[in-house]
Amino acid sequence: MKEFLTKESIKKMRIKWFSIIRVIGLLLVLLYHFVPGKFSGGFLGVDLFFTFSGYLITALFIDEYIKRNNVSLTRFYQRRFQRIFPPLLLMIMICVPLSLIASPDFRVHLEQQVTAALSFMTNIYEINAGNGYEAQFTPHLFVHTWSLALEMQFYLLWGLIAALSAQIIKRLDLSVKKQSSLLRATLFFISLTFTILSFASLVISNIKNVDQSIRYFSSMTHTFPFFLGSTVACITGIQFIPQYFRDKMNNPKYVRRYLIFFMTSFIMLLILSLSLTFTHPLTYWIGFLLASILTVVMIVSARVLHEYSDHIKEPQWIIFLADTSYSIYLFHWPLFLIFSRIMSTPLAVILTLILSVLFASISYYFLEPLLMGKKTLKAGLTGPILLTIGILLITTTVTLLLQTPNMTQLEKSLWENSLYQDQDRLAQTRKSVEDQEASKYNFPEGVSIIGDSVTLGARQDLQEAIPDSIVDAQISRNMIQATDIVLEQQEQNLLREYVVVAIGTNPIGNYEEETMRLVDGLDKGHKLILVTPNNPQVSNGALSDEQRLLDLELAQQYPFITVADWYEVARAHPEIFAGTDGIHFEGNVEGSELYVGCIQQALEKAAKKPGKN
Amino acid sequence: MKQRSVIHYLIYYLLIFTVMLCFFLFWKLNQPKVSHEKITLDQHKLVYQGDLKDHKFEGEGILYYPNGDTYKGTFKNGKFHGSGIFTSHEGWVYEGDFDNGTPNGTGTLTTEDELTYEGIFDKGVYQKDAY
Repeated sequence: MKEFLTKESIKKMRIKWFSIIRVIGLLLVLLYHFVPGKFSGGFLGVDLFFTFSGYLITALFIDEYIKRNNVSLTRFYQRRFQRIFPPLLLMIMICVPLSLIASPDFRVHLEQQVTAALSFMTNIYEINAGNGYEAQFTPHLFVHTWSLALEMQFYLLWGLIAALSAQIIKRLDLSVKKQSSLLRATLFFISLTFTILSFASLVISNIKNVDQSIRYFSSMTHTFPFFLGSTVACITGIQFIPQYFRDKMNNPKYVRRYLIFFMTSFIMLLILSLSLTFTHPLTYWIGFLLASILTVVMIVSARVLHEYSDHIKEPQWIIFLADTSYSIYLFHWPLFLIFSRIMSTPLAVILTLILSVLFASISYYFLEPLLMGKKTLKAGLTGPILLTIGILLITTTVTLLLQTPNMTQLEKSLWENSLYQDQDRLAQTRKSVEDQEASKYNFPEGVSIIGDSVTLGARQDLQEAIPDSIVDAQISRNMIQATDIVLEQQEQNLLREYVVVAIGTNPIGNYEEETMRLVDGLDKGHKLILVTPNNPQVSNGALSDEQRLLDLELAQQYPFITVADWYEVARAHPEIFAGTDGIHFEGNVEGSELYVGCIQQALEKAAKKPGKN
Repeated sequence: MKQRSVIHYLIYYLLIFTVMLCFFLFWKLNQPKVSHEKITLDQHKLVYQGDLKDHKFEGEGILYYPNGDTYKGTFKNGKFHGSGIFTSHEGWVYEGDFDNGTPNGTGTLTTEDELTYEGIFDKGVYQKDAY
């Protein structure tokens, strides 16, 4: 490879039509933000910038090596830093105070955004922040600085690699020409490797369906446009061109072809911008790669066309837009976000454009040369005025950043609502136990036996045979009194879990009403055992039988009620009533045993059934 | 010329220092912010005292509702999570596991009448046949 040395110096070398590429990139991004529905793929403009930066940096690097036979890494870093940082700082110092006119939501965690932007970590910050539900309603004011972050990270790595390669090659015992060719070849292979590695990591992330924000913002998956630009820079160049490329360039018959290449690439980029979307999988599979390749074609075409357009002057407004494109990019997003919240979109676009161009011009033509020492202030008031404005802006920015809200109003209100919703849900939980059997009730365990004279006769045997039982029986007791006793004991928390009511031999007319008062009045969890009466008396036996039928019916109806059918047992054993009134077994041992056994059986049955609900 | 150069370098290093400082602050600010304090929400109607992480309830704390309900226990990402006791102003209490704001897991609900429901709660609903 032979180098071609032009007479121009590096500084004066300005490739015509490169400006157009930068302006196209800027326009795509602006259209993406201003007309989101139409230019849904305008974000590819950023990839165009990336490819162009990679190309430019590497080409200039090689040019510098050829010209000086040396490269200075610190000067390289310094130049990049001085170009990127001052406009960024200015943008932040203007936009943070300006955010006061819009919703405070824009200032949520703004201190994190600002420190991320100023330390070139926005891409990492955005990956960590994720794409929360609330975030889509309040975009980050400085999210667009992710591209600067990636660019700076690329410069840091690539500068180091290129400078190291240059240092090693410089030490080789070769002619300058051979050294520069070797440098080109080395950088070509390294950047090609990085291009492949970076794109491969994107492909793998696509296959693994890695979170979209990671794929988009990561320094791994989205740096291939830079390296692709670098790769192409190694085989073409800006000022010093390899011979084979020069041969191609010198052939006028190719001019038309390159013009067509340029135009076709531009049109294809437009088509991509109109058809792709940020979330579409194709964007990640081929969108970014295609945009970078088209940019490379445009760059190479522009480089060739430059040689044949001595007679054509680049329009001044294109040069202006290209020079200020970086700063316009910086300013347009936060300004548009703020303005679009307080005025109609067309008005916001116009105001954003005017102010972005104004601030970008101040930055490019005044602030940057001033900070780089290329421009001096005339003696007078300008210096002190500028200093005052600067201090005011810094103070306001820092003050605002020290008191940023912690969450957006939407996020806060969603959170508050969810807390109330959880409170409501707990009330539902309370309701969900309503029809269920409790594990523990607020009453003593055991058996309360309420009865009449028949029970009284078996009192001793009952208490002995049934553990945890207590008998309350009285002669002539009827259902009214029994119900009163049950409810009274319940009130005093004395009524035990199992309630045995052995009543009915002293029947009453409103037996049904009183029995229901007992059934309804019993608290949840209790189990009721109704002992059917055995009353063969002619005078009121029929009423007792009706009580029995009601008991049986209730046991059918309510799972917590069990019947101890004493009537049936008694009728099956008439011998126990020998010499009695037919109701009381009067100390008959077998009678007492049968009575106790009947109740015990019912208790065992009840144990398997649920308590009252 | 020399003086201008000095100022120029001063500014340059000041800017570099700004980047370094911002990098340090960025790293610092991105660490989870943990604190223990009393904060209010919904125009001071909801009162919380306890641990916070990134300004949301996380760790141990007590939340007081305006109607007198309270939750005492562990929180995560601003919601009841882990184990806690919810005491209703009506007198009933749920004590047990919570998952993302809802009783979920083992727990005990004690009603106003002091009936106890102990067992599994699935997404806020008591499971009868848990055992």
